[in-house]
Amino acid sequence: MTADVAARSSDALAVDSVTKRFGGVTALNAVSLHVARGERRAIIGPNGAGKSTLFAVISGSQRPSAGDIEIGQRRTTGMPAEQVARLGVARTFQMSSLFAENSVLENVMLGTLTAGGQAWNAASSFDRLAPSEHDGRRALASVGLADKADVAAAQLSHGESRQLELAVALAQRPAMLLLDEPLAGLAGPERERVGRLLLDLPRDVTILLIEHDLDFAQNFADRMTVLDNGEVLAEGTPQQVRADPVVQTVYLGTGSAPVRREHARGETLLAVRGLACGYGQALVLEDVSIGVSRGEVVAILGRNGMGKSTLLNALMGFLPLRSGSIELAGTDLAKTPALVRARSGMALVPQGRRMLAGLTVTEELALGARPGPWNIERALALFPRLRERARNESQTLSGGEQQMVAIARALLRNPSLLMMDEPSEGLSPALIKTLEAAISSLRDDGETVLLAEQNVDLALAVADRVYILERGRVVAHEPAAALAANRSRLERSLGL
Amino acid sequence: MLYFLLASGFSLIYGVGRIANLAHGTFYMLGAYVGFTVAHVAHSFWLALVAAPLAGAALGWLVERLLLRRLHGRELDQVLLTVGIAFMLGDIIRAIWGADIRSTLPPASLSALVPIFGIQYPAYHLFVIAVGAVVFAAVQFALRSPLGARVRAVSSDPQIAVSLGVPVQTVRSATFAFSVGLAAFGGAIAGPLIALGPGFDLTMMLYALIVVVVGGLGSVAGALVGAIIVAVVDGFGTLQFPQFATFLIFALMVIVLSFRPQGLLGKRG
Amino acid sequence: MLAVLGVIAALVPFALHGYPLYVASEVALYALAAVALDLLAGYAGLVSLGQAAFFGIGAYAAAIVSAHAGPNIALTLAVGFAAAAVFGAVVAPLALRSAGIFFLMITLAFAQLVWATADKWRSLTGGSDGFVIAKVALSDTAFYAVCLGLLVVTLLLLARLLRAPAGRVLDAVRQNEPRARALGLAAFWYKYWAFVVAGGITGLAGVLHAHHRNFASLADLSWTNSVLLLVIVLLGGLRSLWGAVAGAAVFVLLQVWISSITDRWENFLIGAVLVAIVLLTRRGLWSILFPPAAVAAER
Repeated sequence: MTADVAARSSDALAVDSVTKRFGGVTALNAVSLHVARGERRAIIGPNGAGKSTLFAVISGSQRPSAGDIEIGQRRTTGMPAEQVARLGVARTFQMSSLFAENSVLENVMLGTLTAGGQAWNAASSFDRLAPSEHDGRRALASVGLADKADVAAAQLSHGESRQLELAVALAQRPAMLLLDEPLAGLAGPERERVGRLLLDLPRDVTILLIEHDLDFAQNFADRMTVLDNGEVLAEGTPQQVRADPVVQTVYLGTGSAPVRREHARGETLLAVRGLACGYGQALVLEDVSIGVSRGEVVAILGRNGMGKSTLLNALMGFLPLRSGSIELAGTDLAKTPALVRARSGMALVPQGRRMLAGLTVTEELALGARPGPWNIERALALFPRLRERARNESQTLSGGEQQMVAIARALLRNPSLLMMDEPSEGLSPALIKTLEAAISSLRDDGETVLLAEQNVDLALAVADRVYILERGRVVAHEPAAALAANRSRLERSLGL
Repeated sequence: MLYFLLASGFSLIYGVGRIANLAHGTFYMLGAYVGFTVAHVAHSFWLALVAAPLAGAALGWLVERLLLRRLHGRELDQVLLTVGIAFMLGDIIRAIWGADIRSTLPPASLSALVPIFGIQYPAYHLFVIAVGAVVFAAVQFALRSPLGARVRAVSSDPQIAVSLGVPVQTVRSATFAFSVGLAAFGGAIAGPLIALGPGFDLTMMLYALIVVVVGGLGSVAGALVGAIIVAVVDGFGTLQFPQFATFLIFALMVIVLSFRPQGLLGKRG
Repeated sequence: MLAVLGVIAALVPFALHGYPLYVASEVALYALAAVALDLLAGYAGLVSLGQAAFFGIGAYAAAIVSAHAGPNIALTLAVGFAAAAVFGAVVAPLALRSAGIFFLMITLAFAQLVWATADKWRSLTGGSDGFVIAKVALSDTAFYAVCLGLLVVTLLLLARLLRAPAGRVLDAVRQNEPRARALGLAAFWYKYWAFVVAGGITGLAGVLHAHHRNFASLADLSWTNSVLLLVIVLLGGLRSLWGAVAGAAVFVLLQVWISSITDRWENFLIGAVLVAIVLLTRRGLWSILFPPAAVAAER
């Protein structure tokens, strides 16, 4: 039978050409999806593709700028979140979002109130609400948290709080579940346990799942939708999507990276050993050790959510370390604040550019400038386009131009180590070529660069060596040339 | 104009440090009293204009360094701390200077009347307007400078500013001290125009809040715009509807807060 | 244990006369206002600098009603509560559009609006002269009983509410509003009712205050009063109804003591206490004296 026709007649969710704009940024562009009742749909795509925004729009915490949403044949466009929830939609959040001061059981019981009609009960005692407690305990048992019922939610381990998120969502007795990266930040046995929980969820519930773990998504889903840059790139069964060449390019690159000869290496500039850090209870990086020598370009690859940005942020000092050392030219900076690290010679081109409001291009470049081989003239020679833009406010520039400013301002600090966090994000292929040329030129000048990238082509074109991060650990360490020449090795290393 | 001097400092502090300094009005009052004393004791109005901001800035720097910094990141607690300081400082000022209404005389050089378009204008009023304009220009000029760029950077994205080597903590302290000094300066200037007595700080604080809310939190130009609007509404109200003048001002504040909390030119919504 | 202490504290004033009894009544009525603010700021998470508006509305309602219908405390209490609650109901939709510091400012602004109105509307309120109220036909002891009675009833009702599902939802909204909404809970309405109820109760305190002093004045509406109430609640500890009562007791007694020494340092005292609380502790006196054993046990 035609899947389309059958699906539409029993659609649990219909997203109709939904667009969402935030100021100048279009997060979702005419996205359409139809999910049948009881279907399991995985939503995948690179960072910034719009996946969480899609969930926000479906669940009602954001209104679409255009388009319509129907849940169970009912138009919900623009409905506030609580109303959508009452229609039987439950969601988990990417960052565990619980009631930290309450106990585990209380958290779950709060989830049962709406379904049980108890939300406005001002007389009975909450603790003695038998049906709520019963439902709550049942939900806890189903996720394996029954014995932690009286523990304060704030004291749970990261994995346990993901389990609790799930339990709260289940306690709502939803008809539709929106799961946003339920496995994020989990590793080892915890990851397996939660993964199994997800697979065992009741089949009559329609489930939408955002996940970066492609293996898991493939296992879990009936169908997958791939988002990129706010648009639907591909849709189909997991096998179809995996085999789709467009999807492969997004994740693997075109395989056309030129082979570079390796540079003669100088002495070690950066030595990171046993680094571990995370956010709140989540441990994002575990026992990471990397090294960068003077004059090298080292790339950190890995799929999203694997910790690349976290690593660079931790190195710059934006994030405290749980353990480990960071030695720059022999001095351990692990316990120093970011200002000291900046002054010691570390510079960062941050993810998302982060232009400073109210500053012109010239001002931004001059802001942190220090004496050394790099000066304004040389920076403008590297990025001639900025000459015309010198007196414009940096925030009014296009994405590519902002990227140039971000790189230039870091260079003008004359750092010993230049770190770049996903500089290709949001850039057109042409601009990525320009970026590639710029980084190659830096390499030729003898700069030391640590580059975190999703774009495999770019990374392999400029790097000498590559580390691959997976779930917070270094799983591979290869010369770039080797990976560029051997595509299947690359695929294996990236887990694709 | 007086509102502007007071409000611009408040806006600066909020923009750069995300602190709503509700003791600002009290520093203003301190400046007025210090100005009064110095003018009397040293027989020099001009000296008073120098002493007041210095006193204010010094005290402000102490407060920021010793107290506010400990509450880094706790916005509400910082606001409450400034309220506490306002109350404490208010009573201290009253203890030192007494509760009688004081007034300063403008310096002899500015006591005359100046005819403009046929209306006799007190020279001092013109002086105040001129000073306000100069201060505005100076602050805007300073903000455009490389030093000002650092301030703007801290205001926009402290994390990136740090990574670019900007000493964020120092910038915040300095901005706080400067802004408070500016408030004190405003108070000293205001001396000859107002009746100085206890409770004055709270009244001025409220006006400053309204100006900042209307003009936009975090924007010095907004403070100027807001000050003008508030002064106009207040003046207009007092003339036409004396019964409702104060009401109008606060109603304006409520309307802006309800529908456009970031004010006309502000940035933090 | 707590109950025994409470009973003793409640009954002792009945054995007192004169000034101590006066102070006890003062404590009780400020405790009433503090408990209301604790509901709003502590449990609903809405820190307001505008409670003086409700307090003053209650005070002036008492004055105006007494002037027209005689000093009948049952009547003034009813009207005061209603007037304050209505004001809250009207103001809430605008005020609740803001959060955090903007909410603080808008509540302040609304309170100043009321103040400005009272200041200028001399025919109704007597303006800066204040409004003298005829004495209520109650003995000091009976008056104290009324204050205490209202406080106890309010405590019982609020404690019940906060233990009930609706109260827990309010608390959950404070902790994590998006999460609460995702659970189908209409966050706005919970905050709305908290605002109105807190306002009404504060209005009751204002009525009592007016009868206590036989006077309603602009000072009741001043933002100093709002700050005072906030300090009391912070002193006793947010999210502790008993703490609010304790805070009121401690603060009023402190005030009495200071004013016996000097009449000039009241504001300083308020400020100093506030600074001390903010710098030294986040939880307030009550949780220092009676630290909660565990999350579950606290309830």
